[in-house]
Amino acid sequence: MYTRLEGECLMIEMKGDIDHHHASRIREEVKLMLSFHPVREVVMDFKDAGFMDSSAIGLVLGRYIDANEAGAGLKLINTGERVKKMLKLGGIYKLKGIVIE
Amino acid sequence: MDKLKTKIEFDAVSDNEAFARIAAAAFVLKADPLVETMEDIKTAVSEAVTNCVIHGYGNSGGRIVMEMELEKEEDAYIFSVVIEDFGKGIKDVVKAREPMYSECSEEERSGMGFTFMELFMDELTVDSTLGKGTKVCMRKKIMD
Repeated sequence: MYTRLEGECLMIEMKGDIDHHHASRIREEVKLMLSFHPVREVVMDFKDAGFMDSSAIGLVLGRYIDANEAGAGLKLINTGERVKKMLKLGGIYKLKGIVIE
Repeated sequence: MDKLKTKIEFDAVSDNEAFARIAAAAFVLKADPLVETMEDIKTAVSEAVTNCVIHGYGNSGGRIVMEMELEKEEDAYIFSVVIEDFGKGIKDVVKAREPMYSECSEEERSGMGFTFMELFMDELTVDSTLGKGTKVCMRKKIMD
Protein backbone atom coordinates (compact mmCIF):
# COMPACT_ATOMS: atom_id res chain seq x y z
CA MET A 1 0.00 0.00 0.00
CA TYR A 2 1.23 3.45 -0.93
CA THR A 3 -1.64 5.50 0.46
CA ARG A 4 -3.43 6.14 3.73
CA LEU A 5 -6.01 8.60 5.00
CA GLU A 6 -5.23 10.92 7.90
CA GLY A 7 -8.43 12.81 8.61
CA GLU A 8 -9.12 14.89 5.52
CA CYS A 9 -5.64 14.38 4.15
CA LEU A 10 -4.54 11.71 1.70
CA MET A 11 -0.95 10.65 2.40
CA ILE A 12 0.96 9.09 -0.50
CA GLU A 13 4.18 7.34 0.46
CA MET A 14 6.63 7.71 -2.44
CA LYS A 15 8.68 4.73 -1.30
CA GLY A 16 11.13 2.51 -3.12
CA ASP A 17 11.76 2.84 -6.85
CA ILE A 18 9.50 5.37 -8.56
CA ASP A 19 9.73 4.32 -12.20
CA HIS A 20 7.16 3.65 -14.93
CA HIS A 21 6.51 0.16 -13.55
CA HIS A 22 5.67 1.32 -10.02
CA ALA A 23 4.13 4.70 -10.95
CA SER A 24 1.11 3.04 -12.56
CA ARG A 25 0.44 1.09 -9.34
CA ILE A 26 0.65 4.23 -7.21
CA ARG A 27 -1.61 6.15 -9.61
CA GLU A 28 -4.32 3.46 -9.58
CA GLU A 29 -4.28 3.34 -5.80
CA VAL A 30 -4.61 7.14 -5.46
CA LYS A 31 -7.43 7.30 -8.01
CA LEU A 32 -9.32 4.61 -6.10
CA MET A 33 -8.84 6.35 -2.74
CA LEU A 34 -9.95 9.74 -4.09
CA SER A 35 -13.07 8.25 -5.67
CA PHE A 36 -14.24 7.07 -2.23
CA HIS A 37 -12.94 9.76 0.11
CA PRO A 38 -13.21 13.53 -0.33
CA VAL A 39 -10.01 15.20 0.95
CA ARG A 40 -8.74 18.72 1.63
CA GLU A 41 -5.11 17.97 1.07
CA VAL A 42 -2.96 15.50 -0.83
CA VAL A 43 0.53 14.94 0.59
CA MET A 44 3.30 13.08 -1.23
CA ASP A 45 5.97 11.95 1.22
CA PHE A 46 9.42 11.32 -0.31
CA LYS A 47 11.05 10.19 2.95
CA ASP A 48 11.67 6.64 1.72
CA ALA A 49 12.08 7.39 -1.97
CA GLY A 50 14.77 5.34 -3.66
CA PHE A 51 15.40 5.58 -7.37
CA MET A 52 13.41 8.13 -9.40
CA ASP A 53 13.05 8.89 -13.09
CA SER A 54 10.70 11.14 -15.07
CA SER A 55 7.79 8.82 -14.19
CA ALA A 56 7.87 10.47 -10.75
CA ILE A 57 7.40 13.87 -12.43
CA GLY A 58 4.40 12.49 -14.34
CA LEU A 59 3.05 11.17 -11.05
CA VAL A 60 3.35 14.58 -9.33
CA LEU A 61 1.78 16.40 -12.31
CA GLY A 62 -1.09 13.93 -12.33
CA ARG A 63 -1.72 14.31 -8.60
CA TYR A 64 -1.57 18.11 -8.97
CA ILE A 65 -4.45 17.84 -11.46
CA ASP A 66 -6.31 15.35 -9.22
CA ALA A 67 -5.93 17.64 -6.21
CA ASN A 68 -7.12 20.68 -8.17
CA GLU A 69 -10.17 18.79 -9.42
CA ALA A 70 -10.96 17.70 -5.86
CA GLY A 71 -10.54 21.27 -4.60
CA ALA A 72 -7.62 20.15 -2.45
CA GLY A 73 -4.03 21.35 -2.05
CA LEU A 74 -0.93 19.39 -2.97
CA LYS A 75 2.09 19.24 -0.69
CA LEU A 76 5.39 17.43 -1.27
CA ILE A 77 7.33 16.65 1.91
CA ASN A 78 10.73 15.25 2.89
CA THR A 79 12.23 16.06 -0.50
CA GLY A 80 15.96 15.41 -0.39
CA GLU A 81 18.62 16.90 -2.64
CA ARG A 82 18.19 14.43 -5.50
CA VAL A 83 14.39 14.68 -5.39
CA LYS A 84 14.57 18.50 -5.38
CA LYS A 85 16.90 18.43 -8.40
CA MET A 86 14.51 16.18 -10.34
CA LEU A 87 11.47 18.30 -9.39
CA LYS A 88 13.27 21.45 -10.50
CA LEU A 89 14.31 19.93 -13.84
CA GLY A 90 10.76 18.65 -14.30
CA GLY A 91 9.29 22.14 -13.82
CA ILE A 92 7.32 21.21 -10.68
CA TYR A 93 8.42 24.36 -8.80
CA LYS A 94 6.54 26.45 -11.38
CA LEU A 95 3.17 24.94 -10.51
CA LYS A 96 0.88 27.46 -8.85
CA GLY A 97 -0.09 26.73 -5.26
CA ILE A 98 2.09 23.65 -4.80
CA VAL A 99 3.94 23.40 -1.47
CA ILE A 100 7.38 21.77 -1.48
CA GLU A 101 9.18 21.08 1.79
CA MET B 1 41.83 -3.18 -19.08
CA ASP B 2 41.47 -0.57 -21.78
CA LYS B 3 37.99 -1.33 -22.88
CA LEU B 4 35.17 -3.35 -21.34
CA LYS B 5 32.16 -4.37 -23.38
CA THR B 6 28.88 -6.09 -22.71
CA LYS B 7 25.70 -6.78 -24.63
CA ILE B 8 22.41 -7.92 -23.17
CA GLU B 9 19.00 -8.58 -24.59
CA PHE B 10 15.77 -8.59 -22.61
CA ASP B 11 12.00 -8.43 -22.99
CA ALA B 12 10.38 -5.01 -23.35
CA VAL B 13 8.27 -5.21 -20.20
CA SER B 14 8.12 -2.65 -17.41
CA ASP B 15 9.58 -5.13 -14.91
CA ASN B 16 12.84 -5.03 -16.87
CA GLU B 17 13.27 -1.25 -16.43
CA ALA B 18 14.80 -1.91 -13.00
CA PHE B 19 16.91 -4.78 -14.37
CA ALA B 20 18.38 -2.58 -17.12
CA ARG B 21 19.40 0.34 -14.88
CA ILE B 22 20.85 -1.99 -12.22
CA ALA B 23 22.82 -3.81 -14.93
CA ALA B 24 24.20 -0.44 -16.08
CA ALA B 25 25.07 0.52 -12.49
CA ALA B 26 26.88 -2.79 -12.00
CA PHE B 27 28.77 -2.32 -15.28
CA VAL B 28 30.15 1.13 -14.38
CA LEU B 29 31.19 0.10 -10.85
CA LYS B 30 34.66 -0.63 -12.25
CA ALA B 31 35.09 3.12 -12.87
CA ASP B 32 34.24 3.85 -9.24
CA PRO B 33 31.75 6.67 -10.02
CA LEU B 34 30.35 9.13 -7.50
CA VAL B 35 26.89 8.25 -6.19
CA GLU B 36 25.42 11.16 -8.15
CA THR B 37 27.03 10.05 -11.41
CA MET B 38 25.69 6.56 -10.83
CA GLU B 39 22.18 7.93 -10.23
CA ASP B 40 22.41 10.03 -13.42
CA ILE B 41 23.31 6.95 -15.45
CA LYS B 42 20.56 4.85 -13.87
CA THR B 43 17.98 7.55 -14.58
CA ALA B 44 19.05 7.98 -18.21
CA VAL B 45 18.99 4.21 -18.85
CA SER B 46 15.61 3.92 -17.17
CA GLU B 47 14.20 6.68 -19.42
CA ALA B 48 15.50 5.03 -22.59
CA VAL B 49 14.22 1.57 -21.68
CA THR B 50 10.83 2.97 -20.60
CA ASN B 51 10.55 4.66 -24.01
CA CYS B 52 11.12 1.30 -25.73
CA VAL B 53 8.47 -0.38 -23.56
CA ILE B 54 5.80 2.32 -23.90
CA HIS B 55 6.45 3.98 -27.25
CA GLY B 56 8.52 1.47 -29.23
CA TYR B 57 6.26 -1.47 -28.53
CA GLY B 58 3.10 0.23 -27.17
CA ASN B 59 3.22 -1.93 -24.02
CA SER B 60 2.71 -5.09 -26.04
CA GLY B 61 6.24 -6.46 -25.58
CA GLY B 62 9.19 -7.04 -27.87
CA ARG B 63 12.92 -7.19 -27.44
CA ILE B 64 15.44 -4.59 -26.32
CA VAL B 65 19.17 -4.81 -26.91
CA MET B 66 21.49 -2.87 -24.62
CA GLU B 67 25.20 -2.57 -25.39
CA MET B 68 27.61 -0.92 -22.98
CA GLU B 69 31.23 0.08 -23.21
CA LEU B 70 33.66 1.44 -20.66
CA GLU B 71 36.85 2.90 -22.00
CA LYS B 72 39.80 4.08 -19.94
CA GLU B 73 41.27 7.43 -20.81
CA GLU B 74 44.07 9.29 -19.09
CA ASP B 75 42.11 10.85 -16.26
CA ALA B 76 38.68 9.34 -16.73
CA TYR B 77 36.51 6.53 -18.00
CA ILE B 78 34.12 7.04 -20.88
CA PHE B 79 30.87 5.14 -20.45
CA SER B 80 28.74 4.61 -23.53
CA VAL B 81 25.45 2.81 -23.84
CA VAL B 82 23.29 1.96 -26.84
CA ILE B 83 19.67 0.98 -26.22
CA GLU B 84 17.79 -0.32 -29.23
CA ASP B 85 14.26 -1.49 -29.93
CA PHE B 86 12.73 -2.91 -33.10
CA GLY B 87 9.31 -1.37 -32.65
CA LYS B 88 7.32 1.26 -34.43
CA GLY B 89 9.90 4.06 -34.52
CA ILE B 90 9.49 7.80 -33.98
CA LYS B 91 7.89 9.95 -36.68
CA ASP B 92 9.51 13.23 -35.65
CA VAL B 93 12.63 12.84 -33.50
CA VAL B 94 13.16 16.61 -33.10
CA LYS B 95 9.66 17.02 -31.71
CA ALA B 96 9.94 13.93 -29.50
CA ARG B 97 13.06 15.41 -27.90
CA GLU B 98 11.27 18.62 -26.88
CA PRO B 99 10.55 18.92 -23.15
CA MET B 100 6.96 18.14 -22.09
CA TYR B 101 6.22 16.42 -25.39
CA SER B 102 4.53 13.06 -25.09
CA GLU B 103 2.57 10.90 -27.50
CA CYS B 104 1.06 8.95 -24.68
CA SER B 105 -1.81 10.75 -23.01
CA GLU B 106 -3.56 7.95 -21.13
CA GLU B 107 -0.45 6.88 -19.23
CA GLU B 108 0.28 10.23 -17.61
CA ARG B 109 3.80 10.68 -18.93
CA SER B 110 5.64 13.89 -18.12
CA GLY B 111 7.25 14.08 -21.57
CA MET B 112 10.62 14.59 -19.91
CA GLY B 113 12.28 11.31 -20.93
CA PHE B 114 14.64 12.62 -23.62
CA THR B 115 15.20 15.85 -21.67
CA PHE B 116 16.39 13.86 -18.65
CA MET B 117 18.65 11.70 -20.85
CA GLU B 118 20.16 14.87 -22.27
CA LEU B 119 20.60 16.53 -18.88
CA PHE B 120 22.03 13.53 -17.08
CA MET B 121 24.43 12.36 -19.79
CA ASP B 122 27.09 14.25 -21.77
CA GLU B 123 25.91 13.16 -25.19
CA LEU B 124 22.68 11.82 -26.65
CA THR B 125 21.91 10.73 -30.20
CA VAL B 126 18.64 9.25 -31.39
CA ASP B 127 18.26 7.30 -34.63
CA SER B 128 14.81 6.17 -35.57
CA THR B 129 13.13 4.66 -38.62
CA LEU B 130 9.37 4.35 -38.82
CA GLY B 131 8.34 0.71 -38.68
CA LYS B 132 11.88 -0.45 -37.92
CA GLY B 133 12.76 0.83 -34.48
CA THR B 134 14.75 3.31 -32.45
CA LYS B 135 18.36 3.39 -31.32
CA VAL B 136 19.45 5.69 -28.50
CA CYS B 137 23.17 6.26 -27.88
CA MET B 138 24.44 8.01 -24.76
CA ARG B 139 27.89 8.82 -23.41
CA LYS B 140 29.14 10.08 -20.10
CA LYS B 141 32.55 10.82 -18.73
CA ILE B 142 33.30 9.32 -15.33
CA MET B 143 36.15 11.18 -13.66
CA ASP B 144 38.85 9.14 -11.96
